[in-house]
Amino acid sequence: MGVVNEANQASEAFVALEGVHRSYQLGEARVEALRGIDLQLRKSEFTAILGASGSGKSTLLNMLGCVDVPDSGRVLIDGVDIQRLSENAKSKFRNERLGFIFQSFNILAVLSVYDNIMLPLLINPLIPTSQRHQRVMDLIADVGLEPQTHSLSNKLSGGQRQRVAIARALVTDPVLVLADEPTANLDSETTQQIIEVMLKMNAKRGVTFFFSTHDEKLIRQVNRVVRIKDGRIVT
Amino acid sequence: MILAKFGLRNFWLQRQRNLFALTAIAVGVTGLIGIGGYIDRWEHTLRTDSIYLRGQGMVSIYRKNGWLMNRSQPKKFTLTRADQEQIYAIVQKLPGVERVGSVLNGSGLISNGCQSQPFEIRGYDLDVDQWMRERPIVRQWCGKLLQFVRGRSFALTSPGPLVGIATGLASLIGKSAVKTPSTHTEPLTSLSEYCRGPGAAQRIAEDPNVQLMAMTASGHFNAADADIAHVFRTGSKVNEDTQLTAPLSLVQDLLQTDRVSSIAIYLEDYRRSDQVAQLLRQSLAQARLDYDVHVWNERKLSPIYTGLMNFLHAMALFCALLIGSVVVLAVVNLTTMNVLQRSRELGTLKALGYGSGALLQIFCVEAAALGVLGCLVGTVMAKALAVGISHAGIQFTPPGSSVAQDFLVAPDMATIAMVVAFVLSLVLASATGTAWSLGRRSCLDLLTHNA
Repeated sequence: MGVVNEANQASEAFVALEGVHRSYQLGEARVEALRGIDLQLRKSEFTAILGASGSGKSTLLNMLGCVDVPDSGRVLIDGVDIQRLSENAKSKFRNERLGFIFQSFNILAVLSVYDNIMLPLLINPLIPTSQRHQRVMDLIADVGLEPQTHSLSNKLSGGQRQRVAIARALVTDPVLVLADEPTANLDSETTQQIIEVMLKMNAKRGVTFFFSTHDEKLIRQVNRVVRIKDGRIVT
Repeated sequence: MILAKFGLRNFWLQRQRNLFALTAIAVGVTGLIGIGGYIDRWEHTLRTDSIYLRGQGMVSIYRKNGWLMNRSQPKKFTLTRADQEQIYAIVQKLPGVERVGSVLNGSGLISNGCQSQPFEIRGYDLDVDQWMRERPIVRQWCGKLLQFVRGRSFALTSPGPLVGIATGLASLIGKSAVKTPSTHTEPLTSLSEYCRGPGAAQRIAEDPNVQLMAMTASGHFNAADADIAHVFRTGSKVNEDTQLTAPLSLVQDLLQTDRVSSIAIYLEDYRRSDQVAQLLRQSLAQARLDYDVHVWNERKLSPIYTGLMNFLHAMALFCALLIGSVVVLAVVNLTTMNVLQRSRELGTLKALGYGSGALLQIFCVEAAALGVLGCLVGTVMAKALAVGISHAGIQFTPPGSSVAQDFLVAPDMATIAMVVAFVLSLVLASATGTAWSLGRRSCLDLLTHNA
């Protein structure tokens, strides 16, 4: 941590991708997933990234989530050049600065709603132990899951699981929440509820959201849409 | 705490899969405790036999090279009265000494009046013999050897010169009778009539009297009459045809000496044998006395004990390797399945900021639950097996033994603890090793893995 890029500090961009390239070997073929991506996000933006399947959306999200590294170019988040972080520092960075919402929720089925949301806090040194319980309870209230606080997650509906995932993503007060098609597995009514929860969190907590989606409802409600095609940003 | 809860709940969720590994662990623990219990049984029996029934004590003191030479050159290699007094004075100051006794070994010919056989005799203090026979440990582990085939102890048969005779030797000289209060010997009219007349064999058999002849310490021949107080089993086929026991005074009379071959020290705790022997050596050296001090489990003093224990331990090690391999394979297989099936969960935890160490902790909790439960079930099964076998009354005669023994499995707490520690370590090491090698994949790999 603490690898601060002075040039980036000078700019307004809170998240910046500069000339990011990423390719994969897929059998005999080399797939160019990202071809020189330049992208900037500002604080509290609610941004959707759109693109066809295989266009590079997920790879881009992985770069921002510090779970993948570019072959070339730079990824700067809140002034930190993530390529210069060690694996341990990346883990710490993810825990303290980022939140993840997965398409298939990825909550731990054998744990309760409370425990799932508490998970990131257990290894977060920035939030005092005495505040953790209240923080979890506040988020459970925010996402409307108070009656299910101690229910096992495998007893919840898809929408409820995604609310747990949103609460878990926000519990450490991250600077950036990344979501990979967060409403893809939900029915339209639940999708609307989840969108409302995300918008509420964005408005109330000022959290920057960046997510991939195909959902028209969601697209209509974002501040900004980024389109990607064949590994390049087109708008 | 949450990670522990996560591990335990996953353990419960995967109970069907865990059952196979749990069974392997439980059966492995049962097998190892069973083998350990069998070894413990022989360890107790042979140790008790070496220390008490063979009259060696935990620590024994000989003249320099006396252990080897006391029979062939008794004048030079046995302990004089002065030696004995010096040694007793030093031994009294040693810690943890329960009893001290003297032993005199000799050899010669035993006769029924008509024919002779060579014998080896061990003479010992009667009060030590009586004390030894009443000790619970001797009754528990050497009960069969403690029981006389016929007759009673010297203390209960007195007065008169008495010997105990091994079954094989008694058979060789045709003796079956032992001295009783009603025993009376017909006056011998003619040796020829006694040995060869009608009913000679029965007459010899019913006469408990024997004649002993030996070379004295000073190199002359001496003979003594004695009555057979009891017939006993030595436990070893090798000794069955030659062994006699007698009160120390009889052997000293026979060998015309007041010397003894060795002084045996009985301790309250046999585990302090080496420590006491060391102290004794130091005390003897300080007093400028040059004697040999031996500990009961030296190979030359207890060849059967050391030989059999080495064999059993080698066998146990082989079995432990086999059983350990099965346990490791079962746990590696289980952990591999768990890690692969739960890759997405692990990826999620990594995305939330957990490092490989934390993930390892989850599998450690699961492995510990599996190991503890498997060891618990295995220990209960082993205990039940031990009780069942002990009550089944199965008897067998070990190779080289002259006595049929009960087939017993008697695991000590130390053995159980060692087996549990061994198996738990294997389970934890194999689970964490597997989880470590599979779980250190990148977060992206884990998140995108399709189980």
